[in-house]
Amino acid sequence: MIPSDTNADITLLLEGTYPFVRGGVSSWVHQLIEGLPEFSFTLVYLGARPPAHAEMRYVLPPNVRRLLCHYLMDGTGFAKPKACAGNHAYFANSEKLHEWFRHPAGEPRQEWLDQVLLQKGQKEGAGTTDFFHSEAAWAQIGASYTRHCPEASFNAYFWSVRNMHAPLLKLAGIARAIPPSAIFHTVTTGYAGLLGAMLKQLTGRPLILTEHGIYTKERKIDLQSLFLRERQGWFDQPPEAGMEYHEQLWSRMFEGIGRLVYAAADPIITLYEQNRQRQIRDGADAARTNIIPNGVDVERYAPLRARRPQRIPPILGLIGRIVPIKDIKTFIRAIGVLATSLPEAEGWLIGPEEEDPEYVGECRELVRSLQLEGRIRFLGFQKVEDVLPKLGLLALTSISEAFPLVIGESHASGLPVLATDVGACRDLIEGKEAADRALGCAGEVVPIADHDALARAAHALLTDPVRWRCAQRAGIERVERYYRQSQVIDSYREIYRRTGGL
Amino acid sequence: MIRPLSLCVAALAVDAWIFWQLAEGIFPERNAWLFPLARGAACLLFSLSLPGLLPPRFCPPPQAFRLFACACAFFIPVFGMTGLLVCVIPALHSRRLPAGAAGWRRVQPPGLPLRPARVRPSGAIAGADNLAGVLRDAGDPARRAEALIATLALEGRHAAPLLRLALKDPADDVRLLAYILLNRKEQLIVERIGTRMKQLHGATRDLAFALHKALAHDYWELACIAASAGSATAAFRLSAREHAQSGLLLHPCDIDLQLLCGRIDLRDMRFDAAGDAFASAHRAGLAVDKTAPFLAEIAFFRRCYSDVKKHLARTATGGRPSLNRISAYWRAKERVGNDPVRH
Repeated sequence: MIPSDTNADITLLLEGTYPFVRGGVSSWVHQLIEGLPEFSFTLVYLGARPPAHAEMRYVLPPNVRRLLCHYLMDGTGFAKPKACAGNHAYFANSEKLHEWFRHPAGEPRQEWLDQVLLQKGQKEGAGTTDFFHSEAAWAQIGASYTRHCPEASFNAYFWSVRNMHAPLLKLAGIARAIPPSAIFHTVTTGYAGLLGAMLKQLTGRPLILTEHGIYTKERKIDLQSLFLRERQGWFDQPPEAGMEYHEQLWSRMFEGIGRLVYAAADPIITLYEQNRQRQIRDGADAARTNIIPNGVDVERYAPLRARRPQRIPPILGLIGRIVPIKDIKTFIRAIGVLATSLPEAEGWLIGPEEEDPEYVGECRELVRSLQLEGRIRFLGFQKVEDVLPKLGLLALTSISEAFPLVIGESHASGLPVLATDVGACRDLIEGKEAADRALGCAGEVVPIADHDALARAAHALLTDPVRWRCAQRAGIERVERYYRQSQVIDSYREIYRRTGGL
Repeated sequence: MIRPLSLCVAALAVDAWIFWQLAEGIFPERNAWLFPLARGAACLLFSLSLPGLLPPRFCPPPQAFRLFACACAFFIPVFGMTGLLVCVIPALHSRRLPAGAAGWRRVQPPGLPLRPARVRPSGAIAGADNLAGVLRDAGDPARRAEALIATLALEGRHAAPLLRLALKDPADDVRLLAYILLNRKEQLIVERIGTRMKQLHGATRDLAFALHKALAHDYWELACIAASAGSATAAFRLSAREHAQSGLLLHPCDIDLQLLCGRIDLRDMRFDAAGDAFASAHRAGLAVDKTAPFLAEIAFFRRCYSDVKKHLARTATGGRPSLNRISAYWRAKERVGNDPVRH
């Protein structure tokens, strides 16, 4: 923790990202703080468990006053449980809140948040003790089980309910410990967003939500993938919804939290139109939604254009984490195909490999089986500025993306891009409105999981210097005109001033 | 209800009789083999009849239930059957459902697909057709995701086209799920191939043949389900052909490998080689109706349309709706006397 005597203007609520994890969201947070030196920030980092060696991946800018780290799955530290009847009024309200999660109609009532989530009017920790050890809690869990899923395993249901509620109950204590500030700004729904909703309820100060990816969607995908990975057996026929009831509970909990956060936040910001539509479908009020696309520090990347060699290097780079969502295997296969027509072609995989070692292993095995060891290089994390001038094309084979910052950075450094038709990639490569489209294509959009199409597009651009230069020029003009970081910073400056009176 | 009950009681009586015989030492030592045989038959009868006694909400029961019943009956002599019959079944019948759930229960109209996870390989093709409809037309991404989960019950070659279709879905969740499922199928085969390749080194002649045959089928399956069609599948077919030919060098008359070679050649548009492979398979004893659809395909590509009809007439089309449709189309054209290619 960085100590400070004064309160900050803005408290940023971060879940599993900045400053300990690298990635698109973390870079965005860092740029935002650096771009607004006139405001001071408190950072609240929420993690699962304290890591053995918490290493900061970014140097905190001087306008960061505090960094508070909280770990939601860290031991609850109960005293020896004693038999107690429990607070029946608390559980009655809790039941109403759960019912609203199941059938959301209108806004959630203030007293539910006050009494259930923030446990107002109760002794510190009493709600937690009640939930884990009281007869009233047992009665509510039993009744809920009998009503909603009597055919499911009670054991799995009971422990899922307990595990789901433990971090939520802990958040109430965290909310009370966070120093006041003019604005609370969360970068996801989920636990950080819920903390923001609690803080708004406690302090009356505004809550801003900026969602890059849609949290509930990503958690659901995570849960489902985990479930399918575990269900490989002959006897394990998956149920119709793809998950067991207690696993669906987790997914529904994040959806419910999402709705609570959407109800509390104003404005609700995202990066592009498709995500805004998804937020509205998930319960956000359309009138409060806004789009602020990502921006690039053009001045930082512009000097890289001069460092580019005269001849276009036959090297495709994929900058991103080595995880299934990036479909690294299609990139590897595409290099194999490209090498048949362009023998000097190479593929560089630039990004951290720690997140999914199993998938990294599969990718390395694929490289071996296609005998591409001499062509594919796993470079791990690298400074983008060092790598971009050495590449001939940036490739992004993702199955899902929001608004990949790396495409903007690539444009700014004068590197054409090949990307799949996901998220805002088409807008970034081909342009959004008529004037933007008139600038031309800054690369090519290719179908998902089609290595032949990717190889064809790469070959066409790498072997046609005139077309390559046109794409380069279009990318530079597009990013300089529409996606400057200063535009993003100005938008947030205006929002902070308007909503927080700063 | 009466019939399954009487069958279960009969099985229990047989089991009890066998053990009584054993306990009394009456069982003839000379016919000792009858003991496991009779027990096995009794357990099988019991496990097949017991699901008929389950309450309606458990119907149809999961396959694992039959296995569980069989295991209980076999490994816990007499008491296993008695316990299931006297304790478990009555307990399931007497289990109280929550108020409102008993008797008439108001339910929402079922979503599509109606019961996706129950689609079993026996109905694979029809199931795949239904799921393709859901994937194409269902407006709710959750329904499309459910259809994808249901593909887990299909064979890889039926599931793969559906998963590839879902890779183009407008919803991220559906695309990602399709990718995970496709990748999961591929990875299982790749791991299998890895294990077999290791076993191939230093294998005896018979084992080497079995491994080449299995590898040929693995690569063929990989070519059929590969996440991205195109040049990668050509490489998989090449490997499949290499292993099939290695297998045929060891056992030149293997019908299965000859048929597989023909199918690979046909996919690669090597019609002469495919025709030769199918002819070899016939000579080795393969029934004509097994190759007729492929010969019809060759005839079609060679524009010998009269041969297409001739070969299709010899196909055994039961249970293959898509082939039935094609045969019906060609028969209809024959009746009106038109050249189908012009339409």
